[in-house]
Amino acid sequence: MHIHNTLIDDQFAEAFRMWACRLIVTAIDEHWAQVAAREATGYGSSVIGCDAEAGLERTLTPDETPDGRPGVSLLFFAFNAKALAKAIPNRVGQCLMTCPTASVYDGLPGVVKSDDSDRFDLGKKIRYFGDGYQKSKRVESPTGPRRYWRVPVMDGEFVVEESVGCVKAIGGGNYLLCGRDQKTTLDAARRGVEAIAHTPNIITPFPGGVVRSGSKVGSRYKALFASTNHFYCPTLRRVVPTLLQQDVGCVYEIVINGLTENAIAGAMRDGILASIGPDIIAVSAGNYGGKLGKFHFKLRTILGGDATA
Amino acid sequence: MNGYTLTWKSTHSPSPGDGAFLRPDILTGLVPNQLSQYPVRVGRHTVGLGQLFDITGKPGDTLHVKAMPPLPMIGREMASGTLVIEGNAGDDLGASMKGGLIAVIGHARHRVGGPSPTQNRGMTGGEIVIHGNAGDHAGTRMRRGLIVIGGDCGHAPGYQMGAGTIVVGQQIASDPGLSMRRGTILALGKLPELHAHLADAGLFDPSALPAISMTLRRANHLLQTIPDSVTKLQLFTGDRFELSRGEVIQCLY
Repeated sequence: MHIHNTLIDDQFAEAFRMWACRLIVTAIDEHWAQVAAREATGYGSSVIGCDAEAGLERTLTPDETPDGRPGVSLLFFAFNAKALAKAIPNRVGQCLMTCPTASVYDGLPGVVKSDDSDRFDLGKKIRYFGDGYQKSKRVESPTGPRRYWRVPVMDGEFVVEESVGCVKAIGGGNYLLCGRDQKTTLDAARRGVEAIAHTPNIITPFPGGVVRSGSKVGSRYKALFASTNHFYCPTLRRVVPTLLQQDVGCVYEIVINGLTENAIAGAMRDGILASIGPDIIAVSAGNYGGKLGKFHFKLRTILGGDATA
Repeated sequence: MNGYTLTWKSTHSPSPGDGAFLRPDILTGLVPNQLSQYPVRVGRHTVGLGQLFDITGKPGDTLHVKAMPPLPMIGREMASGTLVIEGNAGDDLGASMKGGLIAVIGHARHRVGGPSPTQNRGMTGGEIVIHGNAGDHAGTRMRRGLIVIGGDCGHAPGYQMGAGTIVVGQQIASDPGLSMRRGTILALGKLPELHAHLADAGLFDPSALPAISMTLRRANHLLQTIPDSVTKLQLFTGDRFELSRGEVIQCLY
């Protein structure tokens, strides 16, 4: 299958079960909301080495936030709810409580504990920073009463929601751009990321949404459980078996985490269509032979118009 | 409409002693026949609700009451649902209320959201919205919830309050937050002269107190006349002779 002159490889992206939560972070203006977003989502590219995979879902207008200030919607992914319950209070405590004027609200307020969802404490833990001077405020909302903690800080109050909902989600949707050279392939990757930047329910957690160090499972070194995906390294094409086409000089991977299969499939389709161009020789996808993840996003199916793989 | 409309028709004498029977969490779940037979104490006798009101509508979650005299104790200890009173309410509106919403399109008398005679605490949840004025001691001993008063408010709103929020759209007669331990009183009109029980904690930008902005948005959602153009918040804390964790906030424009 080709789109224009770009080969769409008969491959599938192999994604796996994760858990996700959404935080709504507001601040006095858009600048500080973006500062808060950058801080809170830093060091959040891959759970291989980070406590969570994190990213900016979209920016929010004052009308869309609980306190009427500019804000951002952030998504965080981890392998289970317990890992989120550990990572999020740490990130909020260190990156958002410290950020001038920032407040933190649950972005999944209607979520209750079930097989597919859970809740964990956030403000209920962080409130103790108030050293006994913290207060709570319960406000009714369309999803029921919501309780906020008001922690006194040096610029006023840090407001943080008592608990946060989390749901089953999917991590590791991806596609590989196999291009002629670094510059044109990177431009194509950027086009793809920008095309899906404002898509709801997904994030691209890697730097600028792009990964250059795609990994495979395992390593010749016992201490590592992931190592470079040598099948796609252009400099190794004469040394090891390769999956690269002739003339491919650079590969970038776009990794997409999402709350639903449809959100990931749609983002993969939009990203690929925005990325392909004359210097993109092929589009492929990363997988582990289907043994690791239960979600398989087949490129040709996605681009043929079906929402799910 | 989702729920029942009760229109007062009674020439029955005497009238019911109180309006505690007006609980949407109980009445709106009944079928019309049951509702009509629902017992209401009137003097020494008990009559069916249908003898006091014309009843229209069907089961739902809203109870709409029209043209009723201002009975005391309306919505006493209600836990859920919506009660809309077209007209005035008497004393002890929403006494020891636990949840739901009471909207009064008119005025209310004293001790809105206060304790019912058998309870130590005032309202512990839910929301009361009064489009007109309220009497003295609104929110007495309230423990949680929101009271929004569109007009003026009598003496000592938030008397002995332990938590929760009172929003007053216009004038407060005197002594807001007297003996309050915790909780918030938001004054959108000018505060009266404050006494030593409150301490001036200074002026703040609304962005410094986002929880207050949220509360104002919620109040404006319930009562569309709440202004959202607040530029500064003047914070007073107290009651200094109690726990001193309460706050009385003057909104400035």
